[in-house]
Amino acid sequence: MMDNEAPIIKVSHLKKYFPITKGIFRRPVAYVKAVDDISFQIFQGRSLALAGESGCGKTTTARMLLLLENPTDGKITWEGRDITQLSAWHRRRYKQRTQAVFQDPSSSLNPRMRVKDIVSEPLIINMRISKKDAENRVSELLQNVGLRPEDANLFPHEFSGGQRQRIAIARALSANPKMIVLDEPVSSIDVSMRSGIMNLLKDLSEEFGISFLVIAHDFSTIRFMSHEIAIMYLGHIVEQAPSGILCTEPLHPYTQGLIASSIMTKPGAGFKIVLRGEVGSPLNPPPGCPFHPRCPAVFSDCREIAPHFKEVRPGHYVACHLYTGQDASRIDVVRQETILKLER
Amino acid sequence: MALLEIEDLHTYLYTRWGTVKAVDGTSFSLERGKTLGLVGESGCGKSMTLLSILRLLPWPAGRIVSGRILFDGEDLVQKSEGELEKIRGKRIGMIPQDPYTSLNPVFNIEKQMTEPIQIHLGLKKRQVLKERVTEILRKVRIGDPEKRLECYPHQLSGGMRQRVVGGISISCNPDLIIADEPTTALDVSVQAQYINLIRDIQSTYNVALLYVSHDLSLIFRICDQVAVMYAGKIVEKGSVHEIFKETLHPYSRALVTSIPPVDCDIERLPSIPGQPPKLFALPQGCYFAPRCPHAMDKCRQAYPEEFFVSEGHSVSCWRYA
Amino acid sequence: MIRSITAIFSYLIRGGRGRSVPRFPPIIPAVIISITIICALFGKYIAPYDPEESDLINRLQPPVWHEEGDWSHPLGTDKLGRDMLSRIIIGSRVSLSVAVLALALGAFIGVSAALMAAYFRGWVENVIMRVVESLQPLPIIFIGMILAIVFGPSFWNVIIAMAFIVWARYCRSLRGEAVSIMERDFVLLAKVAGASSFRIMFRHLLPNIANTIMVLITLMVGWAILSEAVLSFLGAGIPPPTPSWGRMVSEGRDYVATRLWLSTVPGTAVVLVVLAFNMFGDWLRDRLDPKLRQM
Repeated sequence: MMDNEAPIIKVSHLKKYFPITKGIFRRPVAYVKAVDDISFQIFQGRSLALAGESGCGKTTTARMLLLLENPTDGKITWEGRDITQLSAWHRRRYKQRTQAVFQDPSSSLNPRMRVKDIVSEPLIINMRISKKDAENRVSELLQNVGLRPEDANLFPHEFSGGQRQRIAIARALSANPKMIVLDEPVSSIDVSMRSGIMNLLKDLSEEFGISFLVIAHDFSTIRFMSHEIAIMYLGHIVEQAPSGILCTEPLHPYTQGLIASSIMTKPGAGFKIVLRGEVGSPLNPPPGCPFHPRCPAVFSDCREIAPHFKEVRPGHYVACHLYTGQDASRIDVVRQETILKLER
Repeated sequence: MALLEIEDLHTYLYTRWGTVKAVDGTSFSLERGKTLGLVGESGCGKSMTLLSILRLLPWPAGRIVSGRILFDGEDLVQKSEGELEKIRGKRIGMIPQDPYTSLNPVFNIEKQMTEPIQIHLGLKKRQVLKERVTEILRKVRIGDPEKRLECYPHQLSGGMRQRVVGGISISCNPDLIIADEPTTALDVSVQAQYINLIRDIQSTYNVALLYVSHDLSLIFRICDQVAVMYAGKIVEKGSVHEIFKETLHPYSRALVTSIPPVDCDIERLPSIPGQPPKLFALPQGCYFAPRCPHAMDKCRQAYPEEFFVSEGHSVSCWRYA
Repeated sequence: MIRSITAIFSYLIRGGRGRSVPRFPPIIPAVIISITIICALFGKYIAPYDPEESDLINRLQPPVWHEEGDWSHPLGTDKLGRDMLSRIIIGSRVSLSVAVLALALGAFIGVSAALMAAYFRGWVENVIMRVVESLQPLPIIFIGMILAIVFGPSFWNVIIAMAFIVWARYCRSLRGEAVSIMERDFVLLAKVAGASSFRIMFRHLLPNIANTIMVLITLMVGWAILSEAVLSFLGAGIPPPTPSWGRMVSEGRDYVATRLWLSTVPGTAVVLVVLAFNMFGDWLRDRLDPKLRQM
């Protein structure tokens, strides 16, 4: 991580518990710990990916960053301010600086609005802008995302899935955001059009210095789109590292399992490494390390003590007992031993 | 003699906007005990091919216009509905899209597993049925199968439910199993488990598997044979090793290269311009020509015939003429 | 032969041909509706006689298809000798304007309530929906009668009574759809962009339920005309001498045994118009149903 630059977003000890209520007085009887004490930072022009399987809390985290959900505990700091305590003026500025692109473009574009109204909505809401300026901005944005300015007067259903996602991207760009949350940006797009969209997003990030918070389950997208990856499991971040390192030398057994199922060496051979079992319930997370019921390298500590999230190598953080107290030279050995255990 | 042989199949959909040539002269064959992956994007006709085989096309819009679907030597296109009912579910099994929601929560496992056997094989005695089902559960590696029969779906873990669903698909000893995008909605680790289970079942029972997906990397993992479909036609087919090592058709290559690698860095992805064509307004010549980086004049004039580059590896592209 | 007959029949009644969604409106209902609207707007110029002018010499004249009828009064005259055809033509004005006003008022309240319920959820939705449910079992006759007893029968009483029922029906039918639209991603994105609740309700929710609102209105015009007729028949509706179809039916009641047409002629008008609006509404629903349209 770069220390010389201040992060644009700083998330510290963020928690989100959803109460499960009972009776007419809505007395909480239990909590779903969707996000349980996570911290990360996002730097200008750098992209962070949150990866993990469904129910790991990555979407809830994004929703909190987009002010769609209030954190139970912890802080999200933006320009030195807690985003849940912003004044109306700052709140509007934050909304303008933070945009989102969701998975399914057929649901994220209002079918009753013309493209120009969809794309200019964040502008109209957050800035005083004349109609003429808005229209010019829309045609500029449409060209930026590879559409024609004439498309502004059409309705979303007149476009293919890939083009619709481009419209959604143009909209996210319209108010000059500093950060865009990309929630599975290509997973519902046809394969032959995915690469175009991924290239486009990457170009835009470089051109305008926008940071992405990428949320995805598919490692090829994540690796391509982001500089840094954080793996989430049951509300915790279990491993975080620059994407190149995380994808080639994953340390946490969970990450190793996920990565292994995304890399193919020999065709026709199925999956060599398969994570057993399924994600536990965030309502009743296992004690100790949340991953221990599925872990092939589990030992007694894992069942009782929750591992700390520690930097084991420069820039590489992991929460796993296998790596606590190991010196740097041993880490690679432990990593390979764990992979062998996974293969069995 | 191949188990499933599709010869020049044309399935059209008659809609308000005109005739959609959903399947437009598709031919392929699948040997007993082999797996064939049919890959293509949404709207390329892969699901319509499956529905044609099952003769479950949307009525009245969808119709098989010409071609033959030979299943074990018999033409399914000519069969009556009554004869088809004896084939579907019995000789052709289905793997559902989502293993978690395809079990009925109000019946126990025994009831759900014995029902298709009762219908198709006419077995009546509870003891016989039970033995048969227990045997299947043991084959799909469910521990303590007698006890599991009493369970209701919610009492089983996700992995076990997958196994039960897989077991149902082979309970009538089918010759062919059909799977239409069975894992798209699943998480990565669950997907890997399900794929391995399907492979397992396929090899233990030595059934043929027709696997349809948009995800070429999954097809590569599970299939012996691959057929790539674009705009209703098969553009390339061959064994998985050949296509994996040497992808010839520009469209199949685009499918392979547009997925960024996980194990190495890449700055930009090769991408193909344009959109898949609308099936009721197909371009002249090769349907892929408007998006193809190698398009020649010839490509815009005539649709390329099938050229064999080696035995079993064929491609419909003028570059290999 | 049979096929072509059914095709023509379906074209006349349902609009268009075949099984797919018909593109053109059904002819017979469309014609009936147009005639009704023209009568309501320009009835004064079309009607051959003054509908309120009595002519006791020519009272109780039978219609033209009756042995004793003639063309001077094609639909006969009532007990005061007023021309039935003119009364029906002018009566369409009352029927339609009551329906339009009551539905507009009811739709306005119902749509606003549904939008608020869907947007705010929680206790707001609970309160609105409990009110809607408690209004559900009340029949229009009950509310109409109470208003007539308390305030005396009047044009506006009928409208208020109907709007009272209409808004609850609207709210109930629209809330579900509005809630499902609230869950679509574009609403989420509007929130991300900082859109106000007003903007989300009127710019995002309302246009997406507009089709359903239209369909509900057309489907309920028939009901409104019928209810006005019923209330007028019971004396709780439009006070005399303004001609109204329901009142005409009720006035013919005393002569049912001997002069049946006095009741059946206005009754037929009610039935035809109500059926026409219902068929038109069915066609519109098929036409505007977003699920069918995406095919």
